[in-house]
Amino acid sequence: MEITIDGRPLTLENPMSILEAARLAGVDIPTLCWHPRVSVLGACRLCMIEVVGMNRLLAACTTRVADRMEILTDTPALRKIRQTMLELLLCKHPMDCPTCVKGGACELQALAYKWSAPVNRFPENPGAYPPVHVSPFVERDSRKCVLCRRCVRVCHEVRGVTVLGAMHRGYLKEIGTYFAQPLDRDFRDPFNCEFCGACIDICPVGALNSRQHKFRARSWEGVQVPTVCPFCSVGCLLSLQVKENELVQSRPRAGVNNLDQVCFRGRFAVDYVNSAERVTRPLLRRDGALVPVDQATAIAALVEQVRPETAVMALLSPRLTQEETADFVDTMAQLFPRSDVRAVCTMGLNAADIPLGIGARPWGDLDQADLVVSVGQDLTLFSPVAGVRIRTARRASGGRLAVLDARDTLLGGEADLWLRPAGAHLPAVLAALGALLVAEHPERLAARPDGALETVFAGAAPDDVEAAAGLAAGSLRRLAGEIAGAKNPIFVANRGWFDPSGQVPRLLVEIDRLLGGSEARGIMFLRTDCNSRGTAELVAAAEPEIDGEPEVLLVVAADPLGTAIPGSVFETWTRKAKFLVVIESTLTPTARAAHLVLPLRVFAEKEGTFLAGNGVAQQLRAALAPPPAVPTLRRTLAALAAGLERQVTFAPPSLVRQKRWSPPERPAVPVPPTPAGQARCLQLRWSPLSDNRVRLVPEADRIFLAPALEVHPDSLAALGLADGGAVRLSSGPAEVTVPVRADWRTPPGQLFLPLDPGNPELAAFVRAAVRPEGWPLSCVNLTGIAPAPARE
Amino acid sequence: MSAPRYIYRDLETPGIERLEVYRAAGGYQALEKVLRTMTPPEVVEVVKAARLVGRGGAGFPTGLKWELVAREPLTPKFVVANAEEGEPGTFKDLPILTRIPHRLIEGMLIGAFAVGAHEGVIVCRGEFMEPQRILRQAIAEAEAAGLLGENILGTGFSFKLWVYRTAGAYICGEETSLLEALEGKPGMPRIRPPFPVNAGLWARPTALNNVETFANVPGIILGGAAPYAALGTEKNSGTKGYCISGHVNKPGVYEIPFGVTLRSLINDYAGGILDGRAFKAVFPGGASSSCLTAEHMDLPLDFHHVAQAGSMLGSAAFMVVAEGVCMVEVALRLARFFRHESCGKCIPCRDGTYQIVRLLERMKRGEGVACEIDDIVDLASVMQKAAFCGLGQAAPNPVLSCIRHFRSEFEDHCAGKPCSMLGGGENPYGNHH
Repeated sequence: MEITIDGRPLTLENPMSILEAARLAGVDIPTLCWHPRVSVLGACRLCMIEVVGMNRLLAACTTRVADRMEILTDTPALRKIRQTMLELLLCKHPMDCPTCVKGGACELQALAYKWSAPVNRFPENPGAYPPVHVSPFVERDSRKCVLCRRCVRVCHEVRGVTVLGAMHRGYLKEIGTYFAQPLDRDFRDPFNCEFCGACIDICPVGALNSRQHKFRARSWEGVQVPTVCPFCSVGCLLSLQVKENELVQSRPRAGVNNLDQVCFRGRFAVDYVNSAERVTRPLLRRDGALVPVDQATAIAALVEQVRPETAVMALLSPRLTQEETADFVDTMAQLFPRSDVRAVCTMGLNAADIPLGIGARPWGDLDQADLVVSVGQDLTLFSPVAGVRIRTARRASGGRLAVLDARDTLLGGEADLWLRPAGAHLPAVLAALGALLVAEHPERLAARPDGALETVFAGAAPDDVEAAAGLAAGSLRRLAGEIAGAKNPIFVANRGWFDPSGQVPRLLVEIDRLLGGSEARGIMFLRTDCNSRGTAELVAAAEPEIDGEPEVLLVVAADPLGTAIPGSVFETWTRKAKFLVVIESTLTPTARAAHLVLPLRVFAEKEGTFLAGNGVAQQLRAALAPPPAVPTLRRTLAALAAGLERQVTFAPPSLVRQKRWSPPERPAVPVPPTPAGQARCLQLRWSPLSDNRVRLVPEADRIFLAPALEVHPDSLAALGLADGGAVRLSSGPAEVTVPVRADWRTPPGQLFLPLDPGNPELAAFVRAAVRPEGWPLSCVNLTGIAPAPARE
Repeated sequence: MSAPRYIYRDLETPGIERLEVYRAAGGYQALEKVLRTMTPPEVVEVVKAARLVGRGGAGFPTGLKWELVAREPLTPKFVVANAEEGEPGTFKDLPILTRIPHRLIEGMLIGAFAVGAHEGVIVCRGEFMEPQRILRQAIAEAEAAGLLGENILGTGFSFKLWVYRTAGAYICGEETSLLEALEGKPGMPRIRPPFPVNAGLWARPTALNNVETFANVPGIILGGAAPYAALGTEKNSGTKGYCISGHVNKPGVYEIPFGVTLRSLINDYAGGILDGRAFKAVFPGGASSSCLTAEHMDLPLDFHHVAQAGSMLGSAAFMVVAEGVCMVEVALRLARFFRHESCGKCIPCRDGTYQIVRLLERMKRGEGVACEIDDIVDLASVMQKAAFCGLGQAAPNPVLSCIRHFRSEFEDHCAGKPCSMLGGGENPYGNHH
């Protein structure tokens, strides 16, 4: 297509809007309601343009270019319209720009500066009323709102929730939550707000603001440091605003990974680095209490406990950078030949059991996938941006989506196929899926399964698995058909909470290899911690033994006592350790129980690399200067070596050490325990409050629901329970009482309980009820004991 | 006064809303003729030959619209009747809905056959409670008689019809807002293209026509295209339901062939101006049209001629204003209507209607200054050019035309002169619509 814009000739291959063509040509057409991440609305009318030969003006954002169009973008008539639009917005806008959070970063300011005329024919007092708190983290000032509905569109279209909406009509129109309810934990569930703050970023004016950031710094103050999010393994790119060595704001950084989106943790919970619970000096237990000591004393206290032949055990967390992990593994090997280093992630699961050598797969690949299969448990709950990525890619590519996840975490409802097996059945479901692909779609397979693999798959008869997992008959066959019919399927997976032997990742890799042949196609394995993929490259993946009773246990950046399922292997180790050393940046429950605490830098204070869940390495940048007595991990390790009068050599930087793929071990697919009699399966699950860093953020407890037994509203009556009541859980001699909550995310017939290690009674119950095989799943009896209290 | 009637034929027949009476009066014979003897393209050809144009106000050729829908490969297709009759002064569809519902159903059936649709919806304005009851009853009767549902009249043609009640908003009369409302969303206009003929209800090809348009169809099928095309003017064929209200002796709705003059409409049909007063102005197309004055008394009333006179026929809702009425008050009342009914999507309509009301209220209070008249004119011209949909583009028409024809009244208000005309003082009803 040949067109001209303001006389400039332009040749276009693809159909596009006039606005997009003008941007290509470098012509500035002002916009307010248009935003590249959301659908086109056409409401602000600032982008009106003229087409020669047409008798009416057109909006550039809603009009497609046509061949031989002659477009004029700046004529007196168009200037008049732009001036009038801005005048209509500004005439009742509170002109408090000097104290407005958006001052200097406000799109209305910029537009007015460039396009408006210095007249106001319709002066009006905007009135004075305070901003409304939409949630503990977001405030809204309707007087400044220009009703562009960008917040509404990003909320609905990108985040997949329906929290914000436009209420009323005409000049009374207002953006808000439905029924003007505040979003805190008493009301949030019907609105399923993720507290992601996307509405704040996309607001062109100061109508939606972060309460956390407000009045900490002006937009232009301090420096913006590009870095990576330290929470889940999606690897969102962040930009940290730092003023006077204080982190004042975290915002998403433009990039293909997260498409300008973050979740609650990336935006608000990184504020934990400002927490008063920061460990800034070594702490040594004296007379039962942790007291600050200098580093020499601390190292001396540790050296007293160890000799080179001591079987030191170490638990490190995938929150460490790849460089720190390598340093730590090397040091342990050199100082203590009998040492045993393992990795633990939130929920207390083994963090290193991801199969190696599965290759990197950039997030942008999702845009080319004709089928995305999301496998796991609560994937978009702990990695909301993965949901954003899948949803956005799907809208662009028109690809299909299959979801294997019991709970409704917003992707299921959008999926073409949604299977909701209980988490414990996930390995069996995947084995049956593999068996179906081998048996019924041989033409689709790029590689023949070897004998051992066929044995694994053969153990899972699809019909039996469907019956056991409560799936509709034929649904696994449909899923196999979807996968076989796709040219370029991509798996976005996590391990689930109920897979003690790490079967889910192994089986997925087998399935992926069947489809892709010898070339590793890459699976995006998401975990609750940022460097899980990298940790798996460096730390032994072997199954830990529960019987270990460590003499000395070194825990680095992990919190088994605060975040692991009580009774799980690593939690048991930590409780049994005779001398517990914790290297940590904040006072976690584990640190509080330690004999010695050594300080550690937080993510914002160090340089390094995280290997995201999709296998892509990303750089962490130091944004803050650490407190004076907080050394790097390498210095702490060197000081330990010096205390032992030894030398350690640190290997040169290398991200990945075991690049070769080796056939995974193939234990038989485990069979989940079947409840007997009146017993029911109780599934423990992750919640944002399972992370000790989230709990340090002021008001985080106001938005996340307190743990309660979650039951689908339709299943309450059959179980003799009432919403808001309580239930007595019993398993053998153990008993505990927990509240009951009707929860539409839970599938009918299943029971979920968010992990709450902060509740000692519940922890004791879970510890007693966990089965010997280590299933974080219990067969429990339920007794409803209290009616729902009356609600206002 | 004895021209053939297409829309309101048999309106006075007692019990015509019942199927048996309607059939006894010749009802559903057009449907039988279509289903038994015609092909869909033949139906389209007859409608095209009759030169039937849409009665919602835009005047789009109905035959062409049906042809475009019939040509779309995407299925299923839908037929939707716009019964969201919300333009102030318009009440032409109400007699069809309440008295002759079967004529609408028959017209929709013929339209569905022509475009290849098997499902249809009558989208009824929220306030129309009684019409909905009557429509539902008529649909039930037609279903029981095998005129709706599967295998209609044994011809193998199937058509299912529903009645949908919107939440009641003027904007829902705009076709894409109506479709939004029908899909359960807030009534706000869509971006066009795609047009409803290509991607309407649930993004499927949709023949969306006004109730009155559908009501014309059975008569055209039975009587043939030629007699219909012979009625009316060169530009617009057939008859039109003219609504006339305001200061006339016999307000009501009259079915008259296109081309009747304004003088004849007021004097011959509506019985002249009330109390023998002089004529001052008329809004020919409801609230969103510009007013016509005495100089237009001999204007032939069809879409073309009224547009040439600087106004629009729209839904032919003639609101007559007699001498002695304050035009500032008229402008203010109409402006308030649009402020209330703007959906709030685009800036020019949402804030423009609001500011026009503010300025007119200042004038009514004697606080206005003369330059604000020009501010209104200036703002209105921007609204006409920049608003997203027809509502905002047309909203300033009545105010602008009042200023154009009666500027001295506005200037007098700005100069603080007392106004002794009807409605000239402070608004007794307060500032809200």
